[in-house]
Amino acid sequence: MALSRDAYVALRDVVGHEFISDDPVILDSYSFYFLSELITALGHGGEKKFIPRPAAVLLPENTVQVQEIVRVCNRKGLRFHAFSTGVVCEGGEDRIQIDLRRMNRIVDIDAKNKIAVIEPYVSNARLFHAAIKKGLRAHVHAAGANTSPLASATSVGGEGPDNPSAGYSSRNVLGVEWVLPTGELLQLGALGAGAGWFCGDGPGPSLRGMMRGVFGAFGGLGVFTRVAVKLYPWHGPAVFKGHGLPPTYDGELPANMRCFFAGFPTSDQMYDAVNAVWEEGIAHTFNRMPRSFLCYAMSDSNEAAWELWQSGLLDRELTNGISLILAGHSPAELDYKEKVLHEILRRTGGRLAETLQQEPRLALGVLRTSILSDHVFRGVSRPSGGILEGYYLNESVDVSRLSHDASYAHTKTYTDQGICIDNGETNWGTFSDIAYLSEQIPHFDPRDEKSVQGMLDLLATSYQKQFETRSGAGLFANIGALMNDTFGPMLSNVHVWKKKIKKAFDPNTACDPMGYAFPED
Amino acid sequence: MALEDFEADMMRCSRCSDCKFAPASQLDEDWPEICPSIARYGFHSYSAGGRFVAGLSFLTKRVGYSPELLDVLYKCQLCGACDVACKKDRELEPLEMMTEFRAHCVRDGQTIPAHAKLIESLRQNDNMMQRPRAGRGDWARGLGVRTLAEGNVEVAYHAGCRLSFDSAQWNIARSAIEVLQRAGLTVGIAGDNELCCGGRAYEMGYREPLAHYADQHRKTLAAAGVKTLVTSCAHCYHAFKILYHKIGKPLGVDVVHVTEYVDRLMAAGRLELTTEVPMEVTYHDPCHLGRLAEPWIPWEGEEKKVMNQLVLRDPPKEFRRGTHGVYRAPRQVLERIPGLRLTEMARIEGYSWCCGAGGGVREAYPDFAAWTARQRLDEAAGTGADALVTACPWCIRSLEDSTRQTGATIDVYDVIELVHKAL
Repeated sequence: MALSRDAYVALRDVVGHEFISDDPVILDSYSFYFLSELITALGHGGEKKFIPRPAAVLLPENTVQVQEIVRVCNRKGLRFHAFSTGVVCEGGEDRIQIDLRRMNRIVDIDAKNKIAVIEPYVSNARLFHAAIKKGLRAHVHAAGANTSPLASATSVGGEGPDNPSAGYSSRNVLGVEWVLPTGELLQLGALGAGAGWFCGDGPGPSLRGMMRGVFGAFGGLGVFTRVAVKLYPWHGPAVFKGHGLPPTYDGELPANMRCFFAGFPTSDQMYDAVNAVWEEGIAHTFNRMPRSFLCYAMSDSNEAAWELWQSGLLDRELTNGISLILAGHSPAELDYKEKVLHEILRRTGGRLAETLQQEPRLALGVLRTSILSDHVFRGVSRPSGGILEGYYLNESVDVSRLSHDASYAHTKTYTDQGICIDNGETNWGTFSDIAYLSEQIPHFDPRDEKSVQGMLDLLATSYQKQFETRSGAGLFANIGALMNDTFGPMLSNVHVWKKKIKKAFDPNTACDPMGYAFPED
Repeated sequence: MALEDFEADMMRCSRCSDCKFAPASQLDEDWPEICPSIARYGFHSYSAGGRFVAGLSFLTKRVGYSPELLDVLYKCQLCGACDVACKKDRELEPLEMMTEFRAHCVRDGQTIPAHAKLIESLRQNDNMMQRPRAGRGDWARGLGVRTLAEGNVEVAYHAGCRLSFDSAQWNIARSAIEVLQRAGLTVGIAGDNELCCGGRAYEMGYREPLAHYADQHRKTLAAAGVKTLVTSCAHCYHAFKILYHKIGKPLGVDVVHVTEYVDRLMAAGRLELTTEVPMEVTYHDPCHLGRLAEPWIPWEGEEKKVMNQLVLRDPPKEFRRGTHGVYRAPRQVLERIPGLRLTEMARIEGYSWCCGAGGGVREAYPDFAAWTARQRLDEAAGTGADALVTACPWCIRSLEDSTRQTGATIDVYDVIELVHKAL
């Protein structure tokens, strides 16, 4: 849909002519996603590899401009969708795409109160490097070093390997500055009472449940322009940088950290160990580590990964594997945690991966992946170009235990047809204070039509299986308006509440409902 | 290669934004950006990832040629920072794709007026400065340098278009000659007969000049008996050493940048620096001497898959990831200057920020070039250094122009000028 001249002028007057475009060359870069076919299948329309172009893209500089854009959209009957550093573009021909790239300030790092206030385009890596200078760190979600902690805190997912010591994103969000779909500015938590950013739940209004629930509203409830997140102590060096040359920068594990890899004879024993590590509270970071992922993430090329895979080393040492970083505030604490780990392994039948333990580069790689979200795309995109989350559980360890073999068997019907990489076991996992997360992540090739179509089929069938076996809800089951009616009834009728919330917050349906819900009829 | 050969890369780009920011383990929170284009223009199209999408959109005929498409393609210095950062974790070829896209435009007659004018002048005068051929060798007056035409020249010095015609920079070329002479070398130059390398034209999408000049240089160097070709220009170095190999026309001589050569001479004990140069400096890696100077690695083969969809290349392909750029030599030379202290900026080596001049940006979009240079000057000033030192006359021109326009106070030098001071 072409934007009317007067709508274009009204929007241009908000951001200035340099920061608005309705040119197809610009718009198409907001219409591509390596699995656009999924977005199309979810009802957004589009054609091969492209979802529909938005009507215009805008680059606001501040909250006031965002409010003005939203008000113009309400006045002119336009829909908008905000987007920051993320991977998945949702586009849509009737939408105004708000790219928050220019809102990239670290507003404050309040070391005394352990709070960071950030804008949408501050990345995981940037916040990490800024925080450690003050002896602090933020939770780092696992979507990649360049993705947005603000988006993770307010709108999308939020798991990461540092969950055990820094919590899930929904647990870390404090004060929030939120431009509602009407253009009003809402300040959540202590911020709303003029008391600063320190608390998300009061003394001002607390709407965290409505704002994001577990998964987030995926841009369906307005635009988040600033957020405060909790910071945690960091006892490593104030500067944690690599040295040497690309593609792999060398470095050292901080003295207060140790990395361990362990394998188990059976997945049951591995889950016993997961439970024990969780209960003992010893993990700084934790990865239930599919050996293929280690293989990809820790090699400099696909050829090197293939060579490592063929060597059989990972089969020998990391079947049903886990990796974890232990950290101590003192050498004695670190020693204690290591003793606990050894005891857990002794009781559960696990064994340390002898060869892998001797590879300092592997340990450094795991640490960077876990606390910086570095090298994530080595593991997920380099092998074949694309990944998909099939089975997705945020449940108890026991539910994951039930799902483990089923998800692998399900995927195998597709690997047997050549649809995706035959990774063997593919469930990546970690745990937080709320649940154990398990994601089955098959790799596919976005260029290969058969591979793409097979993945869409895998997604649909795996969701169905998960509900039939009561072993979780696929990641996208709770995302997207078109999924609501199918899966809502199986998820405590959450869709009914989402529709009510949408209607209350967005009377004109100005904010793109596709990632969240259409308002109540 | 043709644009179509990059279709798989276009589809496999995952929008991870590695092309926009310094590698996570190296990132500085105050200077996170590495791509001037996306940093200046903001829309995703102005990143390597966005240009992959533009390529796919173009190939599938969703978009055709337009001023906006050319803007997206040409408001980019082709500095290669995106390429190194992308290949840290991926096996895509963003820089090659962007270069090929420009060539595709030129073949279809879709050119940038400022570039077309330059190329016309190049064809007439054999230089990228839009200046008559005569007087190209004036910079060397009084140095008593032998010319290649005289023959029996083992070491040739190539000044390049910028140094030859930018009289404010003649001191750099003259210093280079005098430093080499101090080491006891007899150096020859082409003087008025020197030709452009063709590298900048190639980056603008014009392929023929590079091949033409590769042939011309090869003939001239062979006739003079040259074994080693030394240059102070990072662009010429890149053309001679990398691009000529890429198009299958290697020069057949040892191509070295003057900082590499001086580093070798010092290591061999043939050049000693004794005069104190009490300065604190920071070093700017020229893109064409740093990450882009990695030797060309020819590869011809096809994609194959194992484990169903794991993508390999047959024969295995060694990707150019910026690992073997010339990073150490200029720093080692600086470290040997008595009294001089080297302080590093946040963005160095493989993820160094561009000076703004490359890829035809200086010629077509001078305001963008100046903006890019200003960012670098601010970063340099933040180190507390007295001077920014680099090793390319195009970088120096871009940075010096920006200091004049913006009132920045940091001085700009070429490495060889400081070596000369230290003799």
